[in-house]
Amino acid sequence: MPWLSLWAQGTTVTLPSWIQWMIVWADPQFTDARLLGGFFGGFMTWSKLLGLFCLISWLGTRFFNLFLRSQQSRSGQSVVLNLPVIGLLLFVGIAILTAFLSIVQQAAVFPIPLIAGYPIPALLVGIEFLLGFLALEAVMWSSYRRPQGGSASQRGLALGVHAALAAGVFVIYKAFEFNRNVRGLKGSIASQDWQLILTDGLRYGATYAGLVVLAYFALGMFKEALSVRWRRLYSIAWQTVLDAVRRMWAPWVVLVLFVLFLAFTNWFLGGPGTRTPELARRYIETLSWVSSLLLSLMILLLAPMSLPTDIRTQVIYTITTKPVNRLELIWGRLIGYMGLITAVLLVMGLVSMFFVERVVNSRISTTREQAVASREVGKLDDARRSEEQAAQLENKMSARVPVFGFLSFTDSRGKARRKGIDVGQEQKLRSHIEGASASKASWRFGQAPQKEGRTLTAENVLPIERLLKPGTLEAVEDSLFRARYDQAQIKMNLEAPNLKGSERRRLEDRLTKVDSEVKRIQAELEPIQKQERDLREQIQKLEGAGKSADLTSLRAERDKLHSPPIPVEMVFNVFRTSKGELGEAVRASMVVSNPLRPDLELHRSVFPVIEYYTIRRFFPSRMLVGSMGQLAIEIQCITPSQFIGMSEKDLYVLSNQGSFRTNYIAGLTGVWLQALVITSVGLFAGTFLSWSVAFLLTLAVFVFGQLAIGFLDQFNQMGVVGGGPFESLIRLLTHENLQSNLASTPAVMAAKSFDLFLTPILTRLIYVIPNISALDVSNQVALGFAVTTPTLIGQVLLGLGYALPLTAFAYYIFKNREIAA
Amino acid sequence: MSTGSSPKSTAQTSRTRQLVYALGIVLIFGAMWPYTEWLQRRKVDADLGEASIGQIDGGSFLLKLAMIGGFRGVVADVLWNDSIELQKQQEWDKLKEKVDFITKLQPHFLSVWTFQGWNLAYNVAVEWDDPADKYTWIKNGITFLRQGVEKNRRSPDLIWDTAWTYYHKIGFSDEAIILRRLFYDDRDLEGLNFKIDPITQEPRDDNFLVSKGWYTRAIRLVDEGVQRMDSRLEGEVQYVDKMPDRKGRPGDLNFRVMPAHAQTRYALSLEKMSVKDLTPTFGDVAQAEWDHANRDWKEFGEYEFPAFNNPDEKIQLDLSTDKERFKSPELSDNQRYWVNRWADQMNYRYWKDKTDAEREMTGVLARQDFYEGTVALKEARFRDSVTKYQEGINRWQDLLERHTVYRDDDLNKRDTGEIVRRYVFALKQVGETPPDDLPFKELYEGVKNEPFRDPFDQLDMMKLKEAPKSAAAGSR
Repeated sequence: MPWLSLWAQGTTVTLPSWIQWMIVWADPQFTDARLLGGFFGGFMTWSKLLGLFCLISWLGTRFFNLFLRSQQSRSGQSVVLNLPVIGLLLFVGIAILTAFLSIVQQAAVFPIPLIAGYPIPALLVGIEFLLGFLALEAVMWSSYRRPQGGSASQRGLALGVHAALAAGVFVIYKAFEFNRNVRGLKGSIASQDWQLILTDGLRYGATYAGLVVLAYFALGMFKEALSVRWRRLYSIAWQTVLDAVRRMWAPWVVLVLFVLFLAFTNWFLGGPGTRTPELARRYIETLSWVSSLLLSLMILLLAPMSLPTDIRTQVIYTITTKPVNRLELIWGRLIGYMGLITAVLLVMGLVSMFFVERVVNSRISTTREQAVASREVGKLDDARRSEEQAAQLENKMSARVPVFGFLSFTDSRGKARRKGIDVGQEQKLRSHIEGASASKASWRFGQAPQKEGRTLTAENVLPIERLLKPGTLEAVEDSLFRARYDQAQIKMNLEAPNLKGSERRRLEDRLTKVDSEVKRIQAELEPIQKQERDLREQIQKLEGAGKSADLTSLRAERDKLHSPPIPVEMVFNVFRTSKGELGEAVRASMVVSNPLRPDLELHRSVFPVIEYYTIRRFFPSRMLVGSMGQLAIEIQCITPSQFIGMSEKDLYVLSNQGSFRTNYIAGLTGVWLQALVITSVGLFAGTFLSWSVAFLLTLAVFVFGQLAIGFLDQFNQMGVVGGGPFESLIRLLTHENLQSNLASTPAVMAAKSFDLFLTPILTRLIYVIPNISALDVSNQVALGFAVTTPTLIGQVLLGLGYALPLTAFAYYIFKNREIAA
Repeated sequence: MSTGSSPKSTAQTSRTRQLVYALGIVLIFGAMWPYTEWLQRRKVDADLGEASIGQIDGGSFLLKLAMIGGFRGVVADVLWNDSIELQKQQEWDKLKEKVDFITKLQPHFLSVWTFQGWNLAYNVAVEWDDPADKYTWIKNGITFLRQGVEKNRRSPDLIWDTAWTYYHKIGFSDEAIILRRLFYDDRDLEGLNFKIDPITQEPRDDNFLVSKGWYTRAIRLVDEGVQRMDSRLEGEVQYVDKMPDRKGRPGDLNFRVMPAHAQTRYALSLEKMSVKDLTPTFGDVAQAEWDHANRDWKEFGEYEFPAFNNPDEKIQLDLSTDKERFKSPELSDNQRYWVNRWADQMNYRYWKDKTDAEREMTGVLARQDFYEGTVALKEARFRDSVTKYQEGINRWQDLLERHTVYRDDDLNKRDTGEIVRRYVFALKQVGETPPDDLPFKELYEGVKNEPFRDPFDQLDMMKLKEAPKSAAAGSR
């Protein structure tokens, strides 16, 4: 990207904000993550990409219509080759030729002469560019009789597109000018620079043009959506459900298959062989995968068939002749299918939830029974282990809400480090700290590390109001601290010189309010403190006297005055440099401190590290008093010459632990959204393809979206070793490895040219194929973490981001299709 | 649908067409019947049906059905790649899940069983820090191998791998003392028959005994003449790179020696704290086990191996301990050469003489004295320690005079030297100097400066929970 590098040289240059905005809106690779917690940034990228799709589809449709028209114009004779097709073939041919020539040039097989000082491939690119541009112009201005070919709105759109292209060039030109002015450059712009301004300007302009087309279609959709009536939607939806249930028996088949699967889970899930702490995860992941698969299969068969069947059986005439809007036809079906899916999913979800609960709870109770039995025969180690395993499993059957901190390291010489020691793990998942040295890992909550430029989010600040129980000693003390911070802040502001009169009055008003607040809290605090003191003294006395009978009730009373201790959970790696004492665990220490209150006594605890187990420790809630959500937790390894390893997400404070059931149901949203996307794809495909082809297309999207997204991503980032599809084929056939350079034989060069032409198209697939696997949140449920509302909102937006445009495309295709022909 | 014909004729044609289809279906099914019959017979002949190769597995069958034929290999490949990736990500449980899946798809692909069984028991187990977790993964590995055996009953390889994992991974790990305790305590609540000796079908509390059963099972299978690649159908297949069984080929000394080794290990482990917090066993029980070991070694020594360069000549290792038979003219020079070479290679003379010595009551009593001496030493009862060591060393001297091969072996020199070193140490604690005629003086000199700790003896390796009572150490 030449422009980026241009600016990078002049680091001091800050473009005017309007240009910055225009650039952010122009390039699909830039976005703004600051607004609305990143949601707006996502929306921006989404609309830019969607705009480009709209542009391509609009041009494509016009091209297609042109092709159809030139076929029809030959008085009934349909000819395959006509001007548009010849043009397209020529275009592709020249592109491949260009790719081939540039490959030849790279391989330096034979010299390619220059023409007028330019290499032939560059010239060809120029010609291609010009040809393409002319062709697009022709397509844009071509007018044909039907449908709406030459309507005024279409002409307006074409004009808008041109204006957008011009705007792109203008923005780049302005930015360039600004840059030159800042640098003090004078004189006319060089021809290479013009070239740059033009190409980049057109690229930016294309995005703007896309946005224009998007706005045009969105407006059309909006108008159409206004005339959508719920009653018609409902009746179409209901008809769809009836069709699916009566004709296909679809939900019954799916449910029967699901029950069959449940009946034989042991065949697939390995039954008793699964380790106790892993049981919940395994069952939940598998069951939600099976639910998703079965639902997807159902919808794969239903959705792409729906419209083509109606068209084939001519049922569609009856519907389209009624005053039914075509958007209603699409949305009605979507709603119908989604209603069906919701019902089936709820049944499957509830059944599997109870099933998982039954399996897991029975395992928990048998493990606990084992623990009791072991304890009775004096096998304390066994008992401890069984209890630990049951606790691990129980923990996973809940909805934990973690608060993550920022991790930094200190090495054995006390120097601050971003990373710990690398002990040679293949994927450097975790960094290690050395035992019995100054080396430590520190997590900071509520305060972003300054050097690393990472931003603090709500996920990093400890939610004090949730962690401290209202009305307890700590909660009241904390509010007192907050009030005093306010007090100090206002006083400081008041001392500022040349303060305006009105501002001063406002501050003074606030100060009196805060002062009275402080007094009120103090009044509230004193009796609690006194009560606590009394209880403590009584307990001490009784302890001294050795009376244990009343102690428990007194202690319980005292505990009621305090907030419960705060849980911290962690998972660590152990790396041993020697075997150490046989059978002895490596030990770690945890030090909790409140950075805002150095006067507070640190909380220290020591514990054995059991590798890959979730260790749960507590610190007293008093550490949070006056912390404003900040906290520091330091972990050290105590055992000499051993190491423990950690990554940032390996330690977190638990802010809440919700119920498994709600979480499980929330987790089903993922499956529901997957079904939504597939339904939309199916309906979309059904609008212009026969049902078998539509089915295959939907299936392909489903398979790609589930399995191949990772590969496509790699491909997109050019991370695939061994070249594109054709080169890979040659390597496969000649048993060449991925790294070796292939000899420049004609076959290899031809393959590389095809790859060079195809790869950019293939890499764009990542924007087309819906990332279905990303919608899944079952992993979170399976690990016992809560699916929080922001996560859910994000997932729903993602799902809608795929589904809405697909239905819109479907609507436009369906609208322009001549069904009665 | 032709538009020109009348509705009636349309109905007629469609009726005819339906009839033709129905007839076609019936015909094809009819043709399939004799074919399936023939195929079934062929499978029985070739011993290839699921039922004859091993246990029928519903899940596996369904999965194979779902992956319609040829895609099986591709799916297995993808799963294998995934499993390697998961191992890098330290997702051990998911790794196992994937591997289980592969074996469901291709249950008769032996390399998967062999490789992943080893992978789970060795590579995954070592990644876990707590010995109890290590044990779980070793058990997972062994169970995996045993599932492989269930599905491939004609493979001595998998049986031998199972035996080896019981024997070596549990018995020779750094944490062997703890692992053996976990094995001892294992109540097998999953119902895996994990502690069942496959020969006697009885539960055993010692991994060496279970491993011996599995070794024996492998040997018996080979002796029955079973070879996995032997089935007639596979015989007809032209393999590019046919993989024969790894284990149990003629002349595989290491294959046949293992039952004897396992039994010897068991007897040896009885006489020390090789299981955490479990006192040793001496007396008749120990003697009987040594006797057993001795018989196993003799059995191994009398097995007739084909000579390497001339399979018609039979080699018995035991001849190396029988001078008269060794010199008899019936033996060719070549036979003598191989007897000597292989006996050296297997250290046969040493093992036979060792078991011979240890099975004597004197040997058992000496061992008991050594154990009690060491316990007394650890508990700082030096006088008792000296007495016990003295008694033991006297017995030991008496015994070794009769077993010179054992006496002169380096392994014994180190062990005996170490005992004398401890004896001398105890002597010094009670203020006495070692006598001039200290038995095994030259062995003591050899180890004086490098004390030896037995990695498989709790007394040497770990703190004791509570000192074992000397009285309890008697014969039981």
